[in-house]
Amino acid sequence: MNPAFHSIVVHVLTGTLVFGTFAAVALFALRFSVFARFRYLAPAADQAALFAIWIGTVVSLAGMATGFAIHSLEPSLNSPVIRNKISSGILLIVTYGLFLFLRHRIGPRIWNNDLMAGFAAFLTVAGMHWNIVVNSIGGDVAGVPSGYESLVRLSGVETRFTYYLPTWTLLVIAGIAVATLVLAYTDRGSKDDAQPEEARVGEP
Amino acid sequence: MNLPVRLVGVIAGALIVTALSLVFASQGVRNGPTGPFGTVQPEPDELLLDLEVQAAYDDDEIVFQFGWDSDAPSLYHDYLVYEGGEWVQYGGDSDGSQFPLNEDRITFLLDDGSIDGFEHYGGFMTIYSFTRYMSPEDVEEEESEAAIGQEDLRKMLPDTMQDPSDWRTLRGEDELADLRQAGYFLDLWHWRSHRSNPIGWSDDQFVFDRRRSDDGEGAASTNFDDELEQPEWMFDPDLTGQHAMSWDRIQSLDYTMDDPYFLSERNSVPFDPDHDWQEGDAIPRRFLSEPEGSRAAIFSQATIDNGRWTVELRRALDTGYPEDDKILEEFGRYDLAPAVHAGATGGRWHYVGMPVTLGLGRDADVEAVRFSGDGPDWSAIEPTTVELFYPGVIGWDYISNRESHAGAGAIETNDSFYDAHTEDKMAFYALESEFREDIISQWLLTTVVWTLFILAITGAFVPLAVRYGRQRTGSGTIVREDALRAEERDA
Repeated sequence: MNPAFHSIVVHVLTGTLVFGTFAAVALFALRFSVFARFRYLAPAADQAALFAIWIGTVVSLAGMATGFAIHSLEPSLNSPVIRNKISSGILLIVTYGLFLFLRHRIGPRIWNNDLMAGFAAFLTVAGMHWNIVVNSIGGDVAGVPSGYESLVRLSGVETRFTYYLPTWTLLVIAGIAVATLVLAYTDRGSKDDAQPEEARVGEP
Repeated sequence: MNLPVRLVGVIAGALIVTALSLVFASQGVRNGPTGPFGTVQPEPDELLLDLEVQAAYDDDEIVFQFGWDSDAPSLYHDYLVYEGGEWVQYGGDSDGSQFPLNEDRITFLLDDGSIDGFEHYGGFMTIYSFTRYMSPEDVEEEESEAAIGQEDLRKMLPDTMQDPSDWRTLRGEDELADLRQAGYFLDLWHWRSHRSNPIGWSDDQFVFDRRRSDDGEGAASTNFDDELEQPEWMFDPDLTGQHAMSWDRIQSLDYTMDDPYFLSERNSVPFDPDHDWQEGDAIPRRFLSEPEGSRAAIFSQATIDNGRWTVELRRALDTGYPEDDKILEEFGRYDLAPAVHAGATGGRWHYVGMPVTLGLGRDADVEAVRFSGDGPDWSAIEPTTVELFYPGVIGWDYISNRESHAGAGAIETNDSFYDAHTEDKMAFYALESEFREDIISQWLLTTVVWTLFILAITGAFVPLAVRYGRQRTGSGTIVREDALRAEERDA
């Protein structure tokens, strides 16, 4: 496949995801008094975020497919740059996919819970981070290195190496994952206890 | 906002994992599996080396000057050391593990346009997965000897084989002779700090169906009598003030270029077994004598100043050996791919440069300037800096194969190396090439674990956030009830 198709697809997904991320962050920001007068835009921002991130996530899958269409799997896996692109591309799709899952599971009420709204906005920002990483590695504009990769490297991420962790680190991560699940699912606190009346915001 | 302890625990877990992952973000292969050769790999900050190149010519000769910095310049190669009444050989390993016992070298491949693609891919065209040291198990000597009459497989050019991915398909003698006569070979200037430079020569070789030496005799021979199990020559004590060198001084790099660190026909006498040899006496295993024939075409002189090598090589433009050497002409333009062995390494453990153009009185990356008199005034000639890099185990059969290399298509169309790579990135690729399979599996595992971690942390955070998060209602709400009801109605 002509690499230009992949490039076109990547531009589409990047644009829509930036738009969706902006809407999600704006929804989180609306809870601060300085932005309170714009709360009437919340339903529109919610729908815009949902729509844009759906489009962007689906097109991300297309981006990955067109990427693999340029080079088959084995040569792709043999390249440190493409390996890093695959990793960050997968994490991009996972984070935006989680946002979509939570938004549909909880509904627009997700924005009325401060912690959940913060988490939803964080997921979109994290997804955008992976988007920047995946586009920066080996990225160029009209055949000239864009320089973004240098910025990523300045931030401490060595994109010239394949990013991977030693086995002991992976085991620690797995242990922490299990521990957090245990913490969450052994919690016996009640919602009423957790949210005393004075903690609620606004009039019923 | 008061967060419950469990929620703080989940957030802390996420932060710990993020910090732990960032710690390794710039570590890369350093924390990966060990090398397949059990050898010391270069550190990431040792993957690149700057080489300065200058060139000049007159009616008869071309002269090069090379300069590069070295932490520990090595004048040494292999030695016979007196231990327990026997002469024990030290040195000979290529991977730097017997530091400082492997001479420093500068080499370069030179082409006149006869090798398609050399101008873009340089020495990578001469190396394959079956070349010695390129895989943990070299091809058996007996097998290569029986199949193509070579003990080991060194540099080869693709068209000397019918199938460039299989050394067993080496062409027949008649075809090879025609190819060589047609100019299908690379001139190899091979300067050695111990085995030729001390007596004023550089080795002269070429790459064709293997790495071959030019016709004639080389400068170095082996200084060991296999039957008597002792050296054949030792230092002339009257001329050098010593019968042998000190093993301790060799290991501490104590000899300078003004000391007798080599053995040649001018500073030696036949070995005296009756001399009172002491533990730690060391005699060079190489004996230097004046080279002859086409192999004696390149003259050298070198200095070390504060760890910086300066090497001058001089050769006739036309050596009279057109099947061994590339004949150079004024206004000609050529391709030159240099390499440096540093840190007591040999074989593939070196730094290589992608080809630069060499022009004699003509615009090029390295422009040879016409000089008159005895020699060029180097201070008046602008040096060209070539960035050399560690090449790992990347061979021509790998990079030209679409099933293994994503850029193989670009090689088929003879695109420039620089369209897809830079020297520094290539050095990192090369380092990883030695661990490729291990890295791929560890990378895959890392991606899976990270994905599962993100899912797990979300699964842990969401129920706690729903339970303990501040819920906005009434005038404090973000998305109003009517909008919520509208979506529920639609649903």
